[in-house]
Amino acid sequence: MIYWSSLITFYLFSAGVSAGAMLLSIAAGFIDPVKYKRIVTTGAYIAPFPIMAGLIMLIFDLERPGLFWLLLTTFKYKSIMSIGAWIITFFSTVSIIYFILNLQKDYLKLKTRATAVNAIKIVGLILCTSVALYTGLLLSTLTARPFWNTPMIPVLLFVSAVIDGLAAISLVLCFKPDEDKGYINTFIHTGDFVLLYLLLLCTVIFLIGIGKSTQSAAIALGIVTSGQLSALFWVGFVAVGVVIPFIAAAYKLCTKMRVHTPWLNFISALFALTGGYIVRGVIIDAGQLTQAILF
Amino acid sequence: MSAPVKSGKSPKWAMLIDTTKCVGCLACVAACHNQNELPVTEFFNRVEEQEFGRFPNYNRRFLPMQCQHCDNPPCVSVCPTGASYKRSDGIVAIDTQRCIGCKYCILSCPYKARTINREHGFVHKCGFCAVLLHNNALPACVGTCPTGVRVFGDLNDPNSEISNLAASKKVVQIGKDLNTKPSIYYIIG
Ligand code: SF4
Ligand code: SF4
Repeated sequence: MIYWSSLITFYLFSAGVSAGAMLLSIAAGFIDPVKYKRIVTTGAYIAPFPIMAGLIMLIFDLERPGLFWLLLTTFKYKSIMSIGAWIITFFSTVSIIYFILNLQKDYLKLKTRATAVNAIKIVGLILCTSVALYTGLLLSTLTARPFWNTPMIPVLLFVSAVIDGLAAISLVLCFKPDEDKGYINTFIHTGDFVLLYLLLLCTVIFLIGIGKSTQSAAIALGIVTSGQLSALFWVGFVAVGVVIPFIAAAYKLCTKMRVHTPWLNFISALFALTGGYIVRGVIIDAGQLTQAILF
Repeated sequence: MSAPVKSGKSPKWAMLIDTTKCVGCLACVAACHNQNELPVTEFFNRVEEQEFGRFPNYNRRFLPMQCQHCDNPPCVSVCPTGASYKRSDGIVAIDTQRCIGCKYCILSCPYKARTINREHGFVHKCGFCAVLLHNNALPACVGTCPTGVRVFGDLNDPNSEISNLAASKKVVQIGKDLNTKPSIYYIIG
């Protein structure tokens, strides 16, 4: 039976986009703030918003949305959902501060203390890592759900979150003319190439692991690879979400195509985002459709 | 069968279900519905029908299933608001006022013991008929079973029938390897 609807899928996806965008923005800033300035600012401008939309979805998936505030008056250290609610709260706050910091650098031009800015970045880095990880841990810690109950789920969703963040940044950059002598393009395509390769690897390890696990896990795998979710999985996730963007990135790297080709970046980012949404939908559904066999 | 007596210590409630005696009459399901005033679509207990073996050595058994009042309950540890909690007498209960209906506990329960109350949106389940226990009566399903499938009692009372049965070699706990530590013991035929 399905208890968590596509609203939860959207929530996990949007949390991934936000966390990934912020992670890349901060990381790019640490690597080279001048060269990768557009990655830094675009990531910072994106980060707070998807997760806000996602939170609204999350609240509406509750059977009693009016009581959602109870999440913020309680802390249960054993409950990944409770820990997650607090992580999300801190993340939203820090992502807004980080957003304002970048905004002021670009437009407001106020004076800021470098140590304070660095502190925000480090806290931000910890928080976006936590957000990207917790969405997977939320699922992987349930022993009742064999399809979720594997350490591969958080790894897979983490990598996917960074890919989604990168795709969101790349998508926004398509609307700005290129002025970076190809640095940004190289960053995006290298990132895409490495991360999609990792995602592919994670997916293969995950599928083999699930297939060789318990009987109920194997049933779940059947639903995903040859049953009711198979079209979504093979076409939506594997082909559109991983293989096509991977080939696009590889092609651009191999041909040293440094000039900005907005249409190619646009399509490949859109595909990667679609895949990121679909893989979460498939995981959410497959986990719920199957249960540990007890007897 | 006598009503559960409280020993000196606070009780630790447990149940034994002897499936070899179950005829699948569903009297317990009806009694549960009645006792908990449940809508027709919501169940706290169910009787699963299982077929096993191959013709001619083929057989069928009935397996009553409900909340196992786990001693290491995943539903309690996942609950973000503390709505699901473990009482000192072993009963896993839900404070419906605090339940936001996130359904995380439903997904965490390996026994499919929890259900959403469609009218109010909270999650609810078998509570070992705590109200009846409070009045020294047995849970509705136990009292109503015509073949004596269910034995209920206090594990903290070493002389109780349930204590002896729980210690015997013929009982099993379902889903034991998921580390839930159920309070319901089964004899499986
Ligand atoms: S059977 Fe399910 S609902 Fe009952 S205590 Fe165990 S995990 Fe919780
Ligand atoms: S549905 Fe209610 S009882 Fe269950 S985990 Fe959520 S808040 Fe707790």
